[in-house]
Amino acid sequence: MSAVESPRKIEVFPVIGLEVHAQLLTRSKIFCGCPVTVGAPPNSATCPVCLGFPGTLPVLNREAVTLALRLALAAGATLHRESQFARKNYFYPDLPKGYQISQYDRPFSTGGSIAIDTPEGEKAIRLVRIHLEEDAGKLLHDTPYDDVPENVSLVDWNRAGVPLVEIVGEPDLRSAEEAASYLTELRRLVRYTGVCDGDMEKGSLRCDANVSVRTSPTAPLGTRVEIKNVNSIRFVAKAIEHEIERQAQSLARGEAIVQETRLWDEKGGRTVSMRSKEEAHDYRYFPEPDLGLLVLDEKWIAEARGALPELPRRRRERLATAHGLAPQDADTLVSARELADYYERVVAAGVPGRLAANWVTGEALRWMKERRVSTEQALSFSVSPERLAGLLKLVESGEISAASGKDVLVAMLDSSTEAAAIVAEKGLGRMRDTGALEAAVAEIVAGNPSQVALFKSGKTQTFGWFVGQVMKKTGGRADPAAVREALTRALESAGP
Amino acid sequence: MTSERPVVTPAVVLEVAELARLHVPEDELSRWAGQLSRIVGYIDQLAAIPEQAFGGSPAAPATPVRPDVPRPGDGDRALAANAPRRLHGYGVVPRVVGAGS
Repeated sequence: MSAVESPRKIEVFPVIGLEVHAQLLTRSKIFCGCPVTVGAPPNSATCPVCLGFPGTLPVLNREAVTLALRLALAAGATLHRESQFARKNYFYPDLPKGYQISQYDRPFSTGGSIAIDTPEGEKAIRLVRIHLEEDAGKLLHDTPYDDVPENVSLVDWNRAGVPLVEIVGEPDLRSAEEAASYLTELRRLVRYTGVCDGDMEKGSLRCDANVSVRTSPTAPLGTRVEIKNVNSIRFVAKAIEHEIERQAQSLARGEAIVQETRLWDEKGGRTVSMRSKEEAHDYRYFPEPDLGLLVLDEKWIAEARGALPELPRRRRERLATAHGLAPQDADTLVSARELADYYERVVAAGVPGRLAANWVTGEALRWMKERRVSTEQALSFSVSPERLAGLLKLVESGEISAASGKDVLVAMLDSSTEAAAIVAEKGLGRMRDTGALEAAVAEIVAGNPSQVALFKSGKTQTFGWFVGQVMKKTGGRADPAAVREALTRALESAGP
Repeated sequence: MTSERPVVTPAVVLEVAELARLHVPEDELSRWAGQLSRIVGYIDQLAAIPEQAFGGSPAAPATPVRPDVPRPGDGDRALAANAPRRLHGYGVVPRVVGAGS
């Protein structure tokens, strides 16, 4: 339970609930066959159904239901064999029909939870429900065109009818950090299950936050404020933090909190009130007469369950236990399903789990970032898991040093050559010529009489310096044990 | 049906009109309230008919589903034929944000 102190020293306890909309990864819209597109010319992906022309009828996309089922199963929710679509009536130019087809009092899924990590341990954030609905179109208020008058907005209905699930969470979150963790877990879950691409910037995952504060952890819930329009997890956390502080200061001044919707103003780093007129909500829900009941049978549910992959938290636990990984490393590896797949392929190719984890979370991830390969694209990184495994086997066997390994990896980035070939070509393999090692040692000892004198006078820590010099001289290719042996002999026999 | 007629008051008419973004002149409110009361009353009469009169209510049918196969919808042409105004392929609507009303 976290308390926040405002400058006026009123201690408040935040209560936060998130409503998340996730765009389902179908090829066509939820109630018509129009393609789900990105960046298509305006209104090119529309038809009389999604444009709300009279006389048209919606027909449900089976795949949208299957994906929604998959997410509900992953969240451990209760599925309802019969659920119903409802009309949510409101007037807005991005909504061609004058109503949105959604689910209201009979959603297909209730309950379930999303687990998050907190400093106190794992915490389950309960879900109220997950339901299916259609998206609205997109309004453009600031257009790039000179000939668009100021008193109009442009509207693109390509997004109208794109399938969504709304995931309504219980107000179980107690801080902005918990809200960010919840969103991170949820995004990972929708990506793992292939339900949604989870891209908040492009709006395929959208979050509204309900925030209230109270003056003791057990006091009745305070008046809640809804924050809309936040398009990254970092900004959700910032918006919530700002809102908690704003409400705390209002209470400190003896003011009541007004129930309202506020928008996150990214530039100003604050939330701003929307006009209260927008708040006059009365959606006059009623059962959608153009659709029958959504009836789920065992076969359909089994199909959705069968497509569930190993879920991220379970996978994290398995990897940590099987390979003795540090929790942080295991967490990084499962941050994206494809990165975890990458790692497991390196291991499957014969590399010990911890060595593979060190390299995948270290050098490989660093180069993926450098090359702008997202963790979701890990499997298309130019160094395939099998090629990385080839390199790591050379490191593990001592054929090359870890330092040389990093250089070899760089050389592998832009070529399809295997690690062993690069090692041979660049002569990076372990120095097997003992004569060359002896010569390098002799040269270093002869060239540094003052260091030799220091060593002889009892400052034995200078030995490490000699080792370093020899390694440098041999390009890191000498076997450290052989270097120590040769150095010991050379220093013993060195004058005076 | 003889029960009292549901009352749609002028205040209810005002509220519904506001939600529907409609302007109803003050002097027409009571006329509208009367007409709407009669319509709602008629629907109530239908609700009062016993279900047996319809031969019992059938089980609600499952909604049909279709495969996830995209196909062109020709909406652009439908819009061209019906939308009052278009610009650069977009629909043109009165500005609803920052218009001050």
